[in-house]
Amino acid sequence: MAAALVQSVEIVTGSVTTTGGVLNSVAAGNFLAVQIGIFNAATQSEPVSTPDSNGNSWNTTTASAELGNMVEFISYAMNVAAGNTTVTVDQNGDAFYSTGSFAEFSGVFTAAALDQQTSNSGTSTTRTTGTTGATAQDEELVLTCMLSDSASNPVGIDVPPTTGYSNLGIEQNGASFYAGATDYKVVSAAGTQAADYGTIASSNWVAKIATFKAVATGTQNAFAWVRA
Amino acid sequence: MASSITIAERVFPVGPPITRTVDSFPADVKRIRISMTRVNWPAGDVAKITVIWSDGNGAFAVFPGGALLGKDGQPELVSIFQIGVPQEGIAGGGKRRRNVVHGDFTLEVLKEFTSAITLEALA
Repeated sequence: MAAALVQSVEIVTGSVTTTGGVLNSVAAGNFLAVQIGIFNAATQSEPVSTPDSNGNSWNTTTASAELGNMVEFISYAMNVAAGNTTVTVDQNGDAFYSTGSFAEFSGVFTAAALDQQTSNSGTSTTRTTGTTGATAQDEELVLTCMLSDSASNPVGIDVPPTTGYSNLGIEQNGASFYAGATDYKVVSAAGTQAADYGTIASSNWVAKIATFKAVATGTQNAFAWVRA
Repeated sequence: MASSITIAERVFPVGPPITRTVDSFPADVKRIRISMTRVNWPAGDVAKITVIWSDGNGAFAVFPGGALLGKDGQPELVSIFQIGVPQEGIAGGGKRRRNVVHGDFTLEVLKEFTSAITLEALA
């Protein structure tokens, strides 16, 4: 069973003190992820409250470097409980902008799923996540996100960022929001991973990528064959 | 639903949450944007808006009052919240947007405030 998207919700906010996503009828054992870019003029902090409304504990990857008061986060919960799940995002009472997505995936490891991660930031016309180390196994889920403070509308972020990715959320309106994108892909061969969000007008940007171990395709059939 | 609905500027007093169901969206809707004018909003959190699509997925946001600077460094005159139509994975890989037929929009007033509220369906 390869990793697969079950469902996702995209949110983009102007100044808020709390936001969050509601995922309906989440299946037991699945994997939840929040990929979110935060602009907080005060102090950026890990945004996802743990536990969520369904008692799941959340983990975070290493935040991207801060640039222009922007930070990208990828947070996740493994082996989640079944049921409707509300995930809350805040910045300790500070007002913040956010651009992100909340998603449920199947087929991801139920423990120790995080494999590789890296991040990148800069003030330039190109936006890339940086390149991870080689994944530990063939089948993995790759999550990426990017946030920019460009004031253009549309900003012109490449969707998907690089061939093979699927877009979970995109905001091209840099006049009203902090433009950014969240994406994923499932890979079936070990190797390094990266995403390139294309070339646009020069601005500050931050980007993050992380890979998560997935159950190998055919595992269930293999077990069935052995048992037969 | 028309592509936009506007509630004229009025005072929203503290009270029980107000839920309205919008029972049809344009076929090509990809996201809903909620904009609220900030008419001398008091300091502190003033409103929470929750959107729940017909598939049960949704999102929420809590909006602060007081003086805020917008992205352009100028006083923020409008608070905005945008939520995409949920997506789902499809067999064999890939994804698609769900065909949501209605949504519940709930406004919880945390502190009395004045605003015009606009709901836009964006393709």
